[in-house]
Amino acid sequence: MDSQNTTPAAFSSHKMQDAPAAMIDSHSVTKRLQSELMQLMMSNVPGISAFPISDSNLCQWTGTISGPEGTYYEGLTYKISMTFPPNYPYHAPVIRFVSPMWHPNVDMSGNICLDILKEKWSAVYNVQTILLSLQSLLGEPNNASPLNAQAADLWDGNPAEYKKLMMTHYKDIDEVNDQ
Amino acid sequence: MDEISDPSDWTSTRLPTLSLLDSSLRCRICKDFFTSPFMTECAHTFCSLCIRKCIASTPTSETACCPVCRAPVLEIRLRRNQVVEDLVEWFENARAAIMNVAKEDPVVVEVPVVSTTPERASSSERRGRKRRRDIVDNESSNSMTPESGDSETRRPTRAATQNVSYEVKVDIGDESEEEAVTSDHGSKHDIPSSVTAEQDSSFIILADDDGNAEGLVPCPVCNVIMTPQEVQIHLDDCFKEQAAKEARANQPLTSKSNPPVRTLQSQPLNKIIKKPLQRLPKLQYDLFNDTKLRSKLAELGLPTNGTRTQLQQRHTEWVSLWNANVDSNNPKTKKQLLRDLNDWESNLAKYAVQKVSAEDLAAWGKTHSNNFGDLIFQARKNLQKKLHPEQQQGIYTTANSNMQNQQRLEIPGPENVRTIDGIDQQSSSGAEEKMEYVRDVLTDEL
Repeated sequence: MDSQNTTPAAFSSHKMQDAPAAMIDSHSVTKRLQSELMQLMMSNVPGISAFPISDSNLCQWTGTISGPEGTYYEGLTYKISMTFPPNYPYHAPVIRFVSPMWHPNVDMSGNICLDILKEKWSAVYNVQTILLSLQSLLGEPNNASPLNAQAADLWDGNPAEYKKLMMTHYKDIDEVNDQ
Repeated sequence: MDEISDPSDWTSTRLPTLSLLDSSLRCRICKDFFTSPFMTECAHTFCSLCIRKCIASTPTSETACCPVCRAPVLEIRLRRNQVVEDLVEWFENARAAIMNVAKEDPVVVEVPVVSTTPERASSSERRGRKRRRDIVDNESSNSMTPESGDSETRRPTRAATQNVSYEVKVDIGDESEEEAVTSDHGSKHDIPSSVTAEQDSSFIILADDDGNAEGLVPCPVCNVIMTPQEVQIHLDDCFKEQAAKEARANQPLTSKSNPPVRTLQSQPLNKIIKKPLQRLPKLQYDLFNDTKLRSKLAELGLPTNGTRTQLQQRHTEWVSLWNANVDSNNPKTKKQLLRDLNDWESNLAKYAVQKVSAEDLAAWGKTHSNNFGDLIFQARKNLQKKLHPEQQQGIYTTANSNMQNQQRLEIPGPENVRTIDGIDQQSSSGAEEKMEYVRDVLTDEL
């Protein structure tokens, strides 16, 4: 349904993966991402997961977030994409929802408005803290600066309608194309 | 690439609490052990290079803040954290050995000595573990003590002795008291009073030479003296550890072979012999025009090509690299640093190219609009097939008909997808449009 979310962007990201096959990351970025992967796999936090898309390029990850209990998103799982810049961790990674996401701070293309991914980014944040922050964002949106005004209005105003609209946009994780 | 070590390495061992120590000795920015640790005013410690790059990556120096607590950070207020530096060095040197001990199954090595008294049998477990440790100790001291016997080799031996004392401390918790008391290297290998000399002295190292070596043979790999039967069992393990040791030694040659004490002492000497390394000041780039900036870079021996932004970025990165190198105990040569800078820059350039290709999406979309059209058409057709039997889903078919209309007029590019979706959401009177659609199809076929 949200074809603007999948069609053109899908092509671009596909191309981006093909093009830099010869990309050699600076040692530090690769090393840091490897430790993060290790940490993530060892700690095994419930409700979140993330993994590099391919062995050759550690800078592209895909992850999943489960909706926290007691929120509209309980029991739902969302897929996200993570792209790490070459100056990571000094600059924030680019995080997008790949699954269609109906949420006050997420636009229809999956872009996320979250301060720690923008101006409040810190070099000590990592994949795990990002995923946990996103998970808590699902339960506690910042309705003061919404990307999706309708969702922000309905969040407090009309929970039933919110849930209904949210569910019409939801797509099971198996149906989301792995881009 | 060498294997990545992680605090979680300890969780599956007998000493899981060491993961806390392990993680405390790591920089929270690079997740690796501290390299030239520096402390901020808010008492957080990072690698010199990590925190410098972090400060350099903020737009202005006033906005620079501690990555952990966001307290303001000034680069000139950073202070070296000498204790942490030493801790890291010692811990890193001892880590593999401790890990070996900690991974050891307590009863893996059966001591082939026939136990004659029940008392000794009960202590066999302890002995088994002790024996392992001796092997490990020995190896580390052995590998660091070449036969040449010059004055340098004394210190590595002492470093190894230090490692031993670490291990003893680590094990104190579950070892007997007599073990804990004998902290001295030599006496540790003496026989505890409860055990008879001949049988348990099988693992005395060569250096101890207290005359217990009769009827025993040295291990061909690590020179530990033991009974011939024990050599058979011991050899397998010894080879494995030796191989691991060599693999490790290839990597951090400089830091491993020089015990920290020596490097620290010799550092001022180095500085006197070579040129004393000076920290580079930051530049107020606003005060420099392009030509001035270029000449500044040329002064430093850096490449002067590229745009203004590239020049600035290059200079900033160089200042971070250089200053962190000044802090280092084992400074790199300028050539190596230049190579690092070059690596960093080429990596950045590749990313920039990538980014442009992403931004160039519109043009790309135009050239491939036929493909888009086909794909969308296919998708809608499939959707229609699926939904056609259920009449209540008129919305989709409406969108579909609109789509087809559009397609007859022009081939829809990616931007048309949005419009289709708009219709998707707006249309409500499905039935009416459905009729239209049927008419459409009919006229189409006629």
